[in-house]
Amino acid sequence: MMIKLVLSRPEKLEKNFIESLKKSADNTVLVLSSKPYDLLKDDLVKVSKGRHFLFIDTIDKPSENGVIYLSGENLTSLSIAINQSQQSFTGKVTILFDSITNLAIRNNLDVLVKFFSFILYRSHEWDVDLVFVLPKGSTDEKLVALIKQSADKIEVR
Amino acid sequence: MKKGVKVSSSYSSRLFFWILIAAVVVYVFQAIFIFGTSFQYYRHAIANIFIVILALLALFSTIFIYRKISQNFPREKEGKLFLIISIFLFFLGDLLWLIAEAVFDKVTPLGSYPDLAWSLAYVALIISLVYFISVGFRPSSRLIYLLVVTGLVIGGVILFNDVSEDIREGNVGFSHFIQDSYILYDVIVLLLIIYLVWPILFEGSQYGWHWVILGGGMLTRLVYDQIFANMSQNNTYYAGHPIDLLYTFFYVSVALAFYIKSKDFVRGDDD
Repeated sequence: MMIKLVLSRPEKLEKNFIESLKKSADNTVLVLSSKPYDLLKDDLVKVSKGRHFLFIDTIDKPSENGVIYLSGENLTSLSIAINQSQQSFTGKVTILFDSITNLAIRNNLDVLVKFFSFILYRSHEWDVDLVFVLPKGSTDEKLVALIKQSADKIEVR
Repeated sequence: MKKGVKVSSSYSSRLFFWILIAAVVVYVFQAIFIFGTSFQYYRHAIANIFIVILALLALFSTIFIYRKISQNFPREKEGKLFLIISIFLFFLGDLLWLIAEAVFDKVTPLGSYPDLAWSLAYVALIISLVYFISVGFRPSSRLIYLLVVTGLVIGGVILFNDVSEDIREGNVGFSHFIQDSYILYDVIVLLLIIYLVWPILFEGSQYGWHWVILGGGMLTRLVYDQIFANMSQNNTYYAGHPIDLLYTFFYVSVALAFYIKSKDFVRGDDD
């Protein structure tokens, strides 16, 4: 298992997210907190061939079945969905956060820090790769510091 | 999914499906027996056999789902292990009750070995619920301890009142105490169920719904406990009473919950 942090220039966030997705395992749980699924759909098609993706959209109700919508406020439900959705896969799994923008807007920072501590800790149990693509400068430092502490690899793009 | 975005396929496991079908069929037959017949010969035995079969089906369903959960999810796996222990003890209690009524001709044998098994089953059920709660993120982990303590206090106060009333009425004995003590387990289980399912209930996510169904089934068991305690104190309960359907609904809900859970596993990893 590996924890990776990609610190991206805000204008290249989507591009870096897609790049990270290309490098992720064939089984990937994507937590969308920057752009809704419907806006990313066309780009996702290109990288999805022969691979299994599960999307958790925290921004907007997607137009397609099979994409899970969860309001970013209910972190308990989100953590359960992340946990349970992995059980659909056999083999290596990556959990990819496209940012934490929407989650940061909808939640108290201290609670969010606890939430990501929980996810970071549980990723060891789940034996998954965890990838965060975060915009440089615009995310709370406390949260970035937490992820940095746990990250095995940090890339600045 | 459209346009080639491949989402992992869910599937209905045949094994869980057939256990569910078997449970529903037995449940329907139990209802027909209760409402549709005035059959008195071997009524105790037949009424209890339905319960034992349903308990066994719920037990199988829980054992099979336990086997499918990966070691990477230790909390969920341990929760399911305690649920297996709990349902096994419920089954054991039901079986002992059947033997007591059908073989030894003891009508409503309160406060004996079946009650011991059922009491232990509730302890295992409480532990399994605590494990299930720990699967998801909770902003405050202290709340779980607070809930158990609150349950103990509320249940303890009601238990104390019930026992005091029994003593005043001269109903002193182990069987009365056992009957009264279910309120303690029931209050704790109720609070834990609410805490477990609340965040899932109001989200559209497909995940975690098996806990909601399981919790719903447990609630019917709690309702049954209270009605049964009241009826047995008034000597109005008999084997094959309609409230037995509340009791066995819990077992059907287990089969349904794990059929739904089985859909979370990908095709090809099946039996």
